[in-house]
Amino acid sequence: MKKHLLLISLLAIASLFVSCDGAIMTDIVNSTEKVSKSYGSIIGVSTTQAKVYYRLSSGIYSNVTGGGSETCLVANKENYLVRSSALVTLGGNEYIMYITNNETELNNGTIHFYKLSDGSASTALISGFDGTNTDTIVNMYSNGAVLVQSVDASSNVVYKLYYKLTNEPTSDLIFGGEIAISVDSKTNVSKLYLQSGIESNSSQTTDQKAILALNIKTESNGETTYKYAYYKIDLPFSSPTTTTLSSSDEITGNMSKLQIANFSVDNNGNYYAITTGGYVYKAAASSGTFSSITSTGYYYEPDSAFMYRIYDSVNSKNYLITKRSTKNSTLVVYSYDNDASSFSSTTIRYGYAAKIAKDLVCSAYQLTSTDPFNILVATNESGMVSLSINMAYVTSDDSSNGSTTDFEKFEF
Amino acid sequence: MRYPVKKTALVIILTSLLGVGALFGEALQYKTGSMIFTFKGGTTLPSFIYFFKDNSLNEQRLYTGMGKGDNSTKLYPGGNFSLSFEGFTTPSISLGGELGYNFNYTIGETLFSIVPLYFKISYYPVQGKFDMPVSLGLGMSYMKYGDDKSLITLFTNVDVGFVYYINENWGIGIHSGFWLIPELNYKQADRSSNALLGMTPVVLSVSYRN
Repeated sequence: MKKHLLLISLLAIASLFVSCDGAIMTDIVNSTEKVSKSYGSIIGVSTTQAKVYYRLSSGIYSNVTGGGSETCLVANKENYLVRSSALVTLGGNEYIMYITNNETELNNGTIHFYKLSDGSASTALISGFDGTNTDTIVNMYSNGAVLVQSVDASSNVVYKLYYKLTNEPTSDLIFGGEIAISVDSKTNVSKLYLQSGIESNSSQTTDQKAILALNIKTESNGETTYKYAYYKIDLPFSSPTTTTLSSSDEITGNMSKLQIANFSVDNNGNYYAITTGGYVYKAAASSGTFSSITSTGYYYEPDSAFMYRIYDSVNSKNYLITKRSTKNSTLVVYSYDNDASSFSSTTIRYGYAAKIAKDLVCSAYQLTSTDPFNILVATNESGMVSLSINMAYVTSDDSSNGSTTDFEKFEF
Repeated sequence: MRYPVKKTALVIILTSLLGVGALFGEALQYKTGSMIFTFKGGTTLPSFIYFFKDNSLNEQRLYTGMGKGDNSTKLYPGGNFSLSFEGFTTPSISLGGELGYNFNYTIGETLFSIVPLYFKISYYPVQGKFDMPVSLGLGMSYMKYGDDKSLITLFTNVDVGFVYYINENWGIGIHSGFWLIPELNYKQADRSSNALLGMTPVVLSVSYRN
């Protein structure tokens, strides 16, 4: 009998020390019913229409604050699935511009427009598309910038980023700025894979920061290797010009074998990239080199790495709120000064994190850029919420840090 | 006089036990060294989740009942099966162990599973053609929630069964009782989520005794 009691006691004590990934009961009592829709992205909010616009797997939809009146605006059709979209103001009118996955449309530069005020639909072609299938739309970003893959006169692959479309859509779309990225210097390249992004906090009318990532597959002597080439891009809203990125715009360094999950920029223009392995790299505004700062120990993926930066201008402090690519996981908030050489981190489960800690984040949209910071966040399975984040307590893991609505009860 | 209802209930239970014993009591079936193997299968009904500390997320500490509802546990009835072994140390008391698997889904369709492994001590006030084991268990359980969260923690339960022996060796029965599973988090940040889970199993059993 004594032996049994001793064994039970030892197991009991041991179990306390292997309890390592908890708060299970908290997650259980905060379970919510699954919503029967899968969010793609939050396109934007129109204060004029008092509606939020978003993309689901079945098309483009709108809804009102409180989430009680969902309306389908554009339904997906076979071979015409909405691929990416943006909410823009052109000539004083608000439009949702979007591209589909239709190959003909991608090759001839077709962009669709949905006018919010009257629901009218139209299409227009990007000016300058040569129509020989050498130009192809690769992506459209949340601020309306369009990335195009092309081939130059020497048969080298080049990329062009068109941005700042200001006039209302006509038959030919003329963008205010264009950036060309030549990749002909990448020798022995058999295939290019492309990823890129605009900083999460950017809106259509502000200066943008972007990173273009080329995933380069190299085959030599029967061996295949992969590496990444990164370019940092400034997209000024007020005076865009046509420029060509040179080798000085390429961010080199020891990150060439790592994939960026997401990135942010501090108030001095330094780039901070978090890779899929959870490593943080920094490229100074004046430098073209990524240098490793730290390893976070957390797991991030490009499709589900939520990152949102809050800037405390009084204390010159940046707070980067991130959600890992693990469904049931706390948010991780990194704190760093401008020009930081190191990060500190803390995990947040309560307050503004209470709902989105339970699901993967698909998309986020900034509602306010001042304290308290309000954002909409769409999740993979649970629906959309709105968060209110108090800057003074952003790293406090309790209700003082802000609040969240229930899923599908978002407010804006 | 503070707990007249509880006292009354206790008297009723004890009287019932004595009554059952008188009704079915036979010569002692078991002797030191007798063994029973039991397979159980049935359901578990989530009863409550109690948080030791109030925190910002949980506006309340106690969640009761199953399924949807602001105050419910958000768990649906689940499935449970287990295997157990008992060896008698006296004609009325056995020591043994039980290994089981239990699963429940949340209202959000997330799988919550428990693998309890525990030692148990059983008292057989009634034995023979009918057995009525009353067991107390203590051990540990492995909990897993969704794809990413798991935890090893403690487990304790009480179990009352009624088993009818079709012949000398084989019996079928029904059991119920109560599970108590504390969630004791090791990480400081998660300690405000320390909680106690209560479940009520209702299971059928097949037993073999030598």
